[in-house]
Amino acid sequence: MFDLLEMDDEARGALLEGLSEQQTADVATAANRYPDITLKFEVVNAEEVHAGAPVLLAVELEREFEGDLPPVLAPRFPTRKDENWWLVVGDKSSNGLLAIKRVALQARAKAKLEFTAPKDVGKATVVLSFMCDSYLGCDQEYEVELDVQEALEEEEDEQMSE
Amino acid sequence: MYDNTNAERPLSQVNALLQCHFSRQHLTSDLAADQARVVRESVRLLHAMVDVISSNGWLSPALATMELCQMAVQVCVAWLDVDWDSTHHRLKFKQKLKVAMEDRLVRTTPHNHTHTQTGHVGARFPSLAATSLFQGAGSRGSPGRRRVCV
Repeated sequence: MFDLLEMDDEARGALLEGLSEQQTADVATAANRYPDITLKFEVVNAEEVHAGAPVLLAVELEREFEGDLPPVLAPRFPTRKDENWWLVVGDKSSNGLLAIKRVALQARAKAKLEFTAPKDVGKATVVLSFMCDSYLGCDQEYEVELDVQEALEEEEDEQMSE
Repeated sequence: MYDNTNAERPLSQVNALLQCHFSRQHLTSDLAADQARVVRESVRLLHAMVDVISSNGWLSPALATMELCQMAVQVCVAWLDVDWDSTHHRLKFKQKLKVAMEDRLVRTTPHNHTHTQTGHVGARFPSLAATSLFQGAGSRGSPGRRRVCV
């Protein structure tokens, strides 16, 4: 989709040759409405991630779209549909879902996800997925590196007393 | 899967209506009204399923449910390459896109969530202002009737 938008006019013209004017217009409508979202994330407490302690992940989302956002372009869906997005933090190795948040994204949004750091000390990787509920193929996935330090003493005490 | 004696049961009816939705069958107006309701509710149910699955902490079923939700909305079943409208246009379009890619006119298409799109960000929409054809066509055109799966 983005390739189509980024092509030179000439190359795109050649690609869409043979389509009627209406069809070309449909392609353009679909391509222009397709979600184009920039995702930035940061581990807020990156310096002090302790095993078994909470990790805060701040996510910033920004959409490239001019004007008000129309509902989802879904000609075969019976009613108006608004976009919904999920932010998911997961651990691929254990297939565990660590945190999830639903975001209704218009132009921009910020979200904070909190999850528990892995139990093992050392480098760890979790996966941040950004999933749409209405469009196919626009989901994004990022690897989040964590440097897990030893568990805090207080927590150990708590665990001992349990 | 489908038992004639059970044809009157709501379960069978809903199943049939959903199958018709996903295979893009045309229905008479009565059935279409029922189908519209079923489809509308199914998306809400899928959202609820995501909630239930995620409270159990299951990663891949949650992601799969989200993808199913996308397919229900767009009526595009990603794992079946069905040519619903049986026009040649889409096929021809795909072939042309392939040729264009091989000619390196375009970069390889990032698809699905398994690929990160970090390097891609920012450059995506310079065309909004620059491509008069697309903007002009976009504002003139009515909502698309055919879904383009690139």
